Amino acid sequence: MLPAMVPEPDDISLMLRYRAGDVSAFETLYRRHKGPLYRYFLRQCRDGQAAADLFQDVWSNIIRARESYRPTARFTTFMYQIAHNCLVDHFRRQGSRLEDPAADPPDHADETPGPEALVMATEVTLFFRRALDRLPALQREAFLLREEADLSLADIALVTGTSEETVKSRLRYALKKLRTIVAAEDVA
Amino acid sequence: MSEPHSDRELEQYLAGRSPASRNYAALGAEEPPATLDARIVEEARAAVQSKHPASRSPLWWLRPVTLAATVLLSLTLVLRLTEFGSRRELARTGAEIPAPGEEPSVPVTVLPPQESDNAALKEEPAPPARQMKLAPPRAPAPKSAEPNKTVEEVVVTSRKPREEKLRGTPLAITAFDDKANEGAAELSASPGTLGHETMVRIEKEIESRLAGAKPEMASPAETRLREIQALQKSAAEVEVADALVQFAHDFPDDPISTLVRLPAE
Repeated sequence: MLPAMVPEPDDISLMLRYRAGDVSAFETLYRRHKGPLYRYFLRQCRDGQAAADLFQDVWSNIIRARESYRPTARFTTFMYQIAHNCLVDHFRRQGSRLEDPAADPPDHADETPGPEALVMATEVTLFFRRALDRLPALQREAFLLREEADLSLADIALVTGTSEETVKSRLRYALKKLRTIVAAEDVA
Repeated sequence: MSEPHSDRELEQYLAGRSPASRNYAALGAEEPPATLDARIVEEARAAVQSKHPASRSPLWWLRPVTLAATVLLSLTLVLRLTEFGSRRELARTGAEIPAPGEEPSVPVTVLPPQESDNAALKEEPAPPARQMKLAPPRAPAPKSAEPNKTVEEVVVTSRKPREEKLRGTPLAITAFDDKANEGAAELSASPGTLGHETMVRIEKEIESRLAGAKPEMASPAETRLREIQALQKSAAEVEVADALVQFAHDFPDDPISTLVRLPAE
């Protein structure tokens, strides 16, 4: 006899349970979102320590805000709004802004990947990683929010404080650049 | 303005059919270090343990109390307004407004409207269980019909809806037969109406007349006078006057009858 399928509790009910004092609900919530959130920071900053610090900041904010949490929107939207704000602050501390070209990463074309990366990654993924790194920060952010957090265009617009059309535009440019860079690398 | 190719590419991407998504997935799924996981979960636990007992505001009771007070005040206001509306309606219709909690008054005798000129409202001892004697309404009977000789008594259990409360207005009605009513009407209308002084004088005359008489040896006139004397002690003057008029008719030669001036026939 097959065991009965127990539906996973949704994010909002987990957060409300944690607000009521249930730490196990927080652990479930954390396990569910820790990977995407960590990668969102890691691929924006390309610095493991900075990503870890920002990651911890976001969760600390969530822990502090649990008392005032109101389930008016998806939990992921709520969490990535905090993450976006943390990232903006991070760039500001570095003397740049998310919108500025200065926030864009340096060209990593000459960086030599480590032996482990060479074993694990195919040539295409290597090209794609380079292409992603070369994207402007705002376009990369829109792409990452779609890929990692599975947010809709409207939610991405909400998180980044822009319009849905702007998000569409950023994604169009991001896709085009990724395709072009990967193709160019492949030819080279 | 976006190119058609870019739009198609975006649509494919949003539908999950883009090579960009496949290439991104191939990058791998880095996770935060385990030490970071432990630190964050510990922080979450510490926050709950340290703050949860105190998370209840010292004024936690304020909300339910406020809600209860609001409901109570609203209810009181609605009741007040309803009562005010009823009192205004009563005032508009001319009825007296009962004081809160006041019960209807003691029943009294009220003559039908035809005798209202001559009918003084007289208080009677309150009957038990708030009963009223109600005269049957005098229907416009044909003139050839025999006058109703019987006194009908209708006992009505007092039941007063709120709108009909009449404070201080006695509410008991005694029925009179047609003859009594007509007699009363004659007395009031004729010059032979017996005044109070005449009634007192007749009362004394009857008393002196019957003082030495023995009941078993009484003449018909004396028997009638005893009845009238009994009426004087228990009934209204109108009824006594009516009985005296009748006595004068029946015993015109009696000295008492000379005191009663008969109405012109």
